[in-house]
Amino acid sequence: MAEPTPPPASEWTAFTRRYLAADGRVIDTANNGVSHSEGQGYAMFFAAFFRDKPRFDRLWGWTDRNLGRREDALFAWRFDPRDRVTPVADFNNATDGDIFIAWALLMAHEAWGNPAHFSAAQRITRDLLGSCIVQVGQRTVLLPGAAGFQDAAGTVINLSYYAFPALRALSHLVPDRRWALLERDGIALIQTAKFGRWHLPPDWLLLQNNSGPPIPAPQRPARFSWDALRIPLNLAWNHLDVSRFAAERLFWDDVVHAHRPPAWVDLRTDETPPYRGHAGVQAVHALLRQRSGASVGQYLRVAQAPDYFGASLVLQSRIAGHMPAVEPAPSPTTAAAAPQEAGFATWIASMASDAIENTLEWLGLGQPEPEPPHPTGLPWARPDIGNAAYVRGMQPGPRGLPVRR
Amino acid sequence: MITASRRAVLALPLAIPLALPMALRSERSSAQPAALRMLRIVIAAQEPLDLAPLLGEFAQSNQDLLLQVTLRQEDPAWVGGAFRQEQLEGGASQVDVVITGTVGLMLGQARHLWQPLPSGLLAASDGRLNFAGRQMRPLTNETAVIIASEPGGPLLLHRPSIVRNPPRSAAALLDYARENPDSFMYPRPVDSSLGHQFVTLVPHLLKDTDPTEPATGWVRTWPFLAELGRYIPYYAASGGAALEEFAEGGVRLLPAPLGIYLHHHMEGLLPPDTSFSLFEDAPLIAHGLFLTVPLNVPAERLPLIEALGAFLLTPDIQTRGFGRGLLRGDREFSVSNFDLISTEDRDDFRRALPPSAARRLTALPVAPPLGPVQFDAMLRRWMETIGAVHRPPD
Repeated sequence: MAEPTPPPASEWTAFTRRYLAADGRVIDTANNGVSHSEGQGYAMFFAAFFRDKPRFDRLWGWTDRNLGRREDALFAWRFDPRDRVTPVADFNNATDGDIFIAWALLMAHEAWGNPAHFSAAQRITRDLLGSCIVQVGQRTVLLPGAAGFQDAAGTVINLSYYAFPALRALSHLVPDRRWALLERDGIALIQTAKFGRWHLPPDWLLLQNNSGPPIPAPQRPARFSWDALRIPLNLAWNHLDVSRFAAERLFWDDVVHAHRPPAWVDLRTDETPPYRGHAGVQAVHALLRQRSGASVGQYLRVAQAPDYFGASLVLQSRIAGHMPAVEPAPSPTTAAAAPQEAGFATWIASMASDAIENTLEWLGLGQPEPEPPHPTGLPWARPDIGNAAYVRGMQPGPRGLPVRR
Repeated sequence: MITASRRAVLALPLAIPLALPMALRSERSSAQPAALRMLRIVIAAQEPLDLAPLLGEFAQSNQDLLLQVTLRQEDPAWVGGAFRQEQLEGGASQVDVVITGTVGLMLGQARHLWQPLPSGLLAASDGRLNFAGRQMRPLTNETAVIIASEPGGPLLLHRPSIVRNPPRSAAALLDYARENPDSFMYPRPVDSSLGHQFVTLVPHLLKDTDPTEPATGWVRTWPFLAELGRYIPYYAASGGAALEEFAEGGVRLLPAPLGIYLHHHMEGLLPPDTSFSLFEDAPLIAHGLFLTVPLNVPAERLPLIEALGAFLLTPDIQTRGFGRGLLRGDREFSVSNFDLISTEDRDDFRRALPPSAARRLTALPVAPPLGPVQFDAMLRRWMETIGAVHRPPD
């Protein structure tokens, strides 16, 4: 098989013409033209990757001015240009956006040597560590936002927010023993959180306080869809073993699908929609096939995606297929002290235990680890928390797209 | 005599993509505190204006009043975003003057960001308004000085070698789009004057029940835009992106304001044989450049701003800064200041706008843009019902 090639600059041009406003705002075209910290982070990452400094500066300038939070270095998750009074109605952050913004700033510093980019990346990373990487029972986990994801029932996490290569890069920026634990526990959770006929992870996962196993978050649709789609992307991007994303490949390759690959699947009923997943789904699927040594044919193009999210996945998949692995986080023993003590021997033992657990799980014999109770009980910060699609600003359905043909 | 650059001579809202900070240190003493002798100007127009040299002249000639002038370029959307946030937070304004186009004016008005201007300044502008300016005067709501105006557009850009018979009506445009999918586009109206001018024109083309009321009077327009959208490859995120797509041959038809067309044509940014057609039986939508003052600017600063407004309205600055010498007042496109530009530029200009085309333009009526509330309603509905609709995956 031919070596993966990086996306040409024309793909970035295609992205900017469709989704990047002149002022540096990334337009979520499928969702009434709103913007997200996630989209800003993605586009900043692309601009740094393609060495497009003018656009990077505009993107970062808009993001910092419009989404920056007063209390820390993180970013409000959503901007609605239709709201003439309060375009940023909710100042909670979204860690997937923060992570990509910090990673992009780090890449920008490496490309252009601006110390301001480096220090901004450092500040964001420190605040991510301080506010969003927490201990839940025996696990180190990434909260989807600084507030609103923990209550009496447990902790809701989004495994697709674990952008492993980005987390690894940030771990070298602000060394801390929690980075390695976060990756270890995140991958273990991905291997544990298998639901439905195809053993897939859900978009949103509840780590229960009642000692029960992780379950799809009850307030949201139990789906493997637009969020969880990024889980295999992140694993493949991190150059992890093919077996880590075998379930997704089996799902997308399953001959039972009339429309391949499906856009999503309900993990309770195994129902799939009557329409095919868009170019973003297909691009991730192609990346997994590529990593498995299969032929993938022609690369998907940005112009084939119906919206900014799909186009972002097309570009990310292309970059992921080409980008070398990022150096893993420093081991817990060599990194700076973290609140929780965890010796190297414990870490090794834990890794071994995970490996055994994963193998058992792979064979269908594993038992989910019981969760200890969690003391916190914060209210939901986002009014639309009950709808997974809305959390990232999406309408229900195929990312809110009224079908026109 | 000072010779105007080719860019400066071009029609109003266009020119050079630079924003320059500049500082002038007066040797002479002034009774005014230093803070009152600073003027912070933001140009929030989609097409950057090269006003720095002119403002430098203004500062030089007003050294008693001015210690420093700063000039910054922003996109029109800045008015509704970061600028609005700054104004909401109160405190001392960081901006004294905003020079903006129709989009910025409307975004600011809808959010009550501009303060009423002194009657003397408004009167100075009123005395110089051309036909398009007079159409827009009621929309300023006493909060803006019209410092430049033009008939606007949209023109329908095309290359005659590729599109021999360009559409001249809404029905013909839809037919063309159906027969040639992905050959026509317009950019997102919230992010581009090309886009909002085209969308504003459609109810006029369709003789809709009330072209000035998008919420209630566009009963034919919204279905038309939805149907047209089925054949549009994508809505470009900026006017610049749409113009690039046209220049590269990605689309064959593109609506654009007169000024943008002239600027891009004379700068060589369009294929040399690019021409334009006009819609029949429909007006041109006026386009303007406005001087506004943020609500939080204290009254003590207004004399300085008045002086700036008067300076920008002088005939010499109008010609050199905004092209009024070429696309001058009223409805004529006579070229009264060709002695200001080189022979080469003169020829370029005639190629871009031949006298016959100028005569056709002058024959068309001019309609004002939407009012601020209506403009906001149009943008919202477009984003929710037109811009969010995409073809499903292939």
